[in-house]
Amino acid sequence: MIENLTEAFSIFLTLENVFIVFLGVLVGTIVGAIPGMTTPMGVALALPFTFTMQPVTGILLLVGIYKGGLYGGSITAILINAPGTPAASCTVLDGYPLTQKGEARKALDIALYASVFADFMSNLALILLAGLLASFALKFGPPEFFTLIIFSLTIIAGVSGDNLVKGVIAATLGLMLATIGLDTIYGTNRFIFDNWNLMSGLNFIPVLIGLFALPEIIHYFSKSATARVHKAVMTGAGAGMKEFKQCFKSIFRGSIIGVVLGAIPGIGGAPAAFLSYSEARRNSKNPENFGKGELEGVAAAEAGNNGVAGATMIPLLSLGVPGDVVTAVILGAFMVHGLRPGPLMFVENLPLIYALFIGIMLSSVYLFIIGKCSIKAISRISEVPNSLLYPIVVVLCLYGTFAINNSTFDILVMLLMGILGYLMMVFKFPAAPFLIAFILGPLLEDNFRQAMILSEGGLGILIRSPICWFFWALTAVSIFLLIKSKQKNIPLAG
Amino acid sequence: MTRNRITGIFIFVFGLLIYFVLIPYGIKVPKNIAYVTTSPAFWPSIISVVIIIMGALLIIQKKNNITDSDAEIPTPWKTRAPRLLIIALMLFGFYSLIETLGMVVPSIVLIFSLMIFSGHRRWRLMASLSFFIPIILYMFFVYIANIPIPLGIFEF
Repeated sequence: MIENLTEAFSIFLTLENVFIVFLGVLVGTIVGAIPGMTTPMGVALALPFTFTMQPVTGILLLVGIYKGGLYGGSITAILINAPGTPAASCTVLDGYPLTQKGEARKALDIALYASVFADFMSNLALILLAGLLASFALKFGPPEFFTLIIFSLTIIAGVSGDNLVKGVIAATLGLMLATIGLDTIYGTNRFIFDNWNLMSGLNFIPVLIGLFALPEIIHYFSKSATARVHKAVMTGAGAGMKEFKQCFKSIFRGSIIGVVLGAIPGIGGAPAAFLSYSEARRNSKNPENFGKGELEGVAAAEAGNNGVAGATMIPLLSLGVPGDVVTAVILGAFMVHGLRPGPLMFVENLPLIYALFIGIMLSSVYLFIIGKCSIKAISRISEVPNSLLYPIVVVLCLYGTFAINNSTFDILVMLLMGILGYLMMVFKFPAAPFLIAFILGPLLEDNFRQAMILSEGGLGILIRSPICWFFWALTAVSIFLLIKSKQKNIPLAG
Repeated sequence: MTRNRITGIFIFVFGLLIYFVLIPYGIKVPKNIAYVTTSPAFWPSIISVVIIIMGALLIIQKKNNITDSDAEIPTPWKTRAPRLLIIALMLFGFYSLIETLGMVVPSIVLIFSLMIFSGHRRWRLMASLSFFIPIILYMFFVYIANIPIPLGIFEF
């Protein structure tokens, strides 16, 4: 053990490695903060640069970008209501209202603290619990995934505002929109109507940007100049230890949720963020403040989102199974250097694994430093008058949307979603349930249908294991509590 | 009739439209489906039924004091509608020009027009922001991110 650790330090401790982790986190933060530039895109772009590097150096560069990207997505989500990544869409729910209240710095600070803490917890889990979590993750089949997503969807009630019916309608519209594209099992067309642009379905990012950033901007420009008083949005004071302590429970819970879900291949940061947010709201003394600028909401979303970072490496390193697109690219980097992640690597290349762990831990420190140094400057964006900021944001969204697939069709989708989002705003339909359902919808349907194929059409498979029972029980309890709390707000004509 | 009821009727009819028109014509169901639950149309059908039910619930829902769903929007629609039309024209105009003029030149015009439209009058600042922001974005995406931003007729 000591020998391996000493060798690991000798592999890691070079100026190049120490710098490359810093560079990775910095680049990742910038990439994540640009709407349209996704973390997988950043990691994929950096992959060719790693070919000539030492294995540890190259892989740490990619891991650094990944971690920075997860945090960076929250910056634009908080400041301009345009999430840089799907996972950051949960941060929007309370982050942007906080900016509107003049507390952008506080929101950015708590997002950073939650991100760093969750990232650190995730790294610890990776180092200490890789084997245990990997074997637990392998117990998740389609029925378990299905029940987990069903439970995650109960958050819709929490973000529906005062009218649950409208929230459910918004969610069903999101679910319906997610069915567009080629059917994943039979390969037949669904709502394509001979438009080949729709074959792969609608991309997340144009829908995200269209639904969140554009309606606010359209609303601003639609008001007459006299009605359009620029709110003197002050960046305000930052968050300190007091706020961190207040949000600690949610941050800790979110980190655990992120770690557990991150270890399951194919889940990703978005469900973790939403589940963490939902749990924070459920356990909060002020659940009614969620969605209106609650600091704990930002903390929970970011903790859930960043908690997956280290954990997604668990199935990759211990089983050789990439959990998402980013870890698939990182797997590629391993293979380019002649390494094959999996149980054998822990026997044959243990010092290299330990060297990676050291670099990964260092990335958490860099994340804090880079975040802290940039927040003061970045948060000044919220002081720019809307008359100057919004036109720039529109163009940034247009470029970012195009960049996803080099497709002008995505721009059209974004504009149409902007109109839909504006209409939803006018008719008081909450956008968050729509988005949550749109993101979780494909996971829900795919796992349901895979379960049905496994069971030859029998619904009994959905209660086949204790994990399924656990999530069904949680769902039932959540629905019961939600109906109880909402009862007085949805009076029906008798 | 309240705004919620009208919206409810619209949602209800939309749900029926999905169930009876869009699903039969928009989804190709293979003939060899073994179980109905694995059909490509199964999930959309379930969702459309929920939409119909929720639309009906919205129709019968009593006016809610908390949601202020029927509250008037501060700026009257008379003022709002022409402005919305202009915004839509600007955004969709940008989209329609991409193929011929690319993204950079239309975005310079778009930023400047939106700034004028928002009532800003610091001309030099507006001109420099309108010019440099699209150029910087173009340089970033093309030279750093390696993503080809279309230039249309300005492509050399």
